[in-house]
Amino acid sequence: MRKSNHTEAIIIGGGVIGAASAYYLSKAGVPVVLVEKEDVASQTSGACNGYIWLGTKKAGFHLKLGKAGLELMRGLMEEMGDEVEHDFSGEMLLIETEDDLEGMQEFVTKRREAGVDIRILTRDETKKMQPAVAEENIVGATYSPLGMQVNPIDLVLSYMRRAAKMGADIRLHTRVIGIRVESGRVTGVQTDQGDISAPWVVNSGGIYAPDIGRMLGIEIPITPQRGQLLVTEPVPPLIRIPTIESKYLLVKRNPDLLKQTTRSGVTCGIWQSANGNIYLGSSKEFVGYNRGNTFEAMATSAQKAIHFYPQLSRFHIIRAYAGLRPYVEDGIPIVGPVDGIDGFLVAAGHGGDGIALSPITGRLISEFIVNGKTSIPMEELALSRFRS
Amino acid sequence: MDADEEMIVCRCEEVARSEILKAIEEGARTLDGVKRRTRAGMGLCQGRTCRRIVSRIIATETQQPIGEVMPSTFRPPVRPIAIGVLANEKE
Repeated sequence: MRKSNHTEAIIIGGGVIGAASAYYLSKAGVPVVLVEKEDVASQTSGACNGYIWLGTKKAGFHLKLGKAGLELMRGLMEEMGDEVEHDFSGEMLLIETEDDLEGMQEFVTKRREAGVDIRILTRDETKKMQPAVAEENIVGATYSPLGMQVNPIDLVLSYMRRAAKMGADIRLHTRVIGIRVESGRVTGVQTDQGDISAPWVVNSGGIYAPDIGRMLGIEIPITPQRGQLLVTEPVPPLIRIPTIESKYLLVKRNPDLLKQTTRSGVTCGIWQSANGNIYLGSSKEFVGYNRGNTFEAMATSAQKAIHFYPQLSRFHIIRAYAGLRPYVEDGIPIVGPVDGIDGFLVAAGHGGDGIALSPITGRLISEFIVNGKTSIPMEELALSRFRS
Repeated sequence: MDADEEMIVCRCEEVARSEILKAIEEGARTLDGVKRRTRAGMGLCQGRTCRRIVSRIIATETQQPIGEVMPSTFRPPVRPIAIGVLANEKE
């Protein structure tokens, strides 16, 4: 097929957000060119877990987004389920101390008020649901049947392939080097392989979204936050329900707690894939664009893992890896138009929620381009909220 | 040739040569790109066995010198390590 150098929407970035945007736009019949400087899911989306959880979303707008995302994801799995590894195993947050329990009870109450099916389990109930847990080290857990997991790379590939089938032109190994603007509107991009013109440009560059923004003199406050993960050899089924320690939530609300209670910001999340591999993670560190692994984070993850699941002790880690979350201080992604330049949309800064919020983000971008209005109001997602 | 295409290249994840070729056709140019699309290199041996063969296939199909086919990042652990041992921090 001959490549056209004019289209309706150019999507910058081939991670989960760019791929989801291409999918939803193509579905709506909008001609799209996606440009990715390396390969599909080369950065964050290729180095993360695929938790789609409601229990870890902040009450209010963040939870609203999370709910929309989960619902859309369930629908997507009906369509993509054969090619995207996924399961509906629920989600569990392990509660270590009575103090933590108090905080978590408040947390559960708020969420039930917002209509989320979530409850507190006693120590015995937790043990019953998750036999491998060391019940002497917990006082209970929160549990929601709503949580699900998807294989992030499968998901990105599926979005991409389906978008291509619906007409999207996916250009890998193509780097954007400039953005053209005329009379206050974008007119296209310059790449290392020629120019492409379009009245819409979507910046879904993830951790590199700030670089793209700077091509237009726009500051986008996204900082890379490293998360290190460990993977074991395939082992017999041990972890029935994916769990995170509830400290993960408590430190989200109070980042200072992170330094006091753990090293490298490691909070313990464990899940087991259908293949039998067990994943442990992850850390939270600000180390620039460094995707290396550190002994401290690996050892801390291992220690926490066997604290909650002693049987893990004898399993072998076959690989460590790390991804960079596109971190935004208030924990809400940046989605929507920018002041002063028409046709330029940001869709980035999803922190640790990119996979979970990819469907709603792709949907919003598509709605905005097609209709100018969106099913969820975008004010709280706007870049302009950082103006100060 | 059919027999060639069905030859298993990655034994750990049972990935056939035809799948590697399909991945390259879709745009994979590196070991990572092939890995993401096929799981070749994600198994127990982490690509130690198939890395060279996959690199050679990529080099041939994309007409790059084999030395330029980017190796996957070399990540710890060098050898599988038990979680219990890692937790004891004997570096």
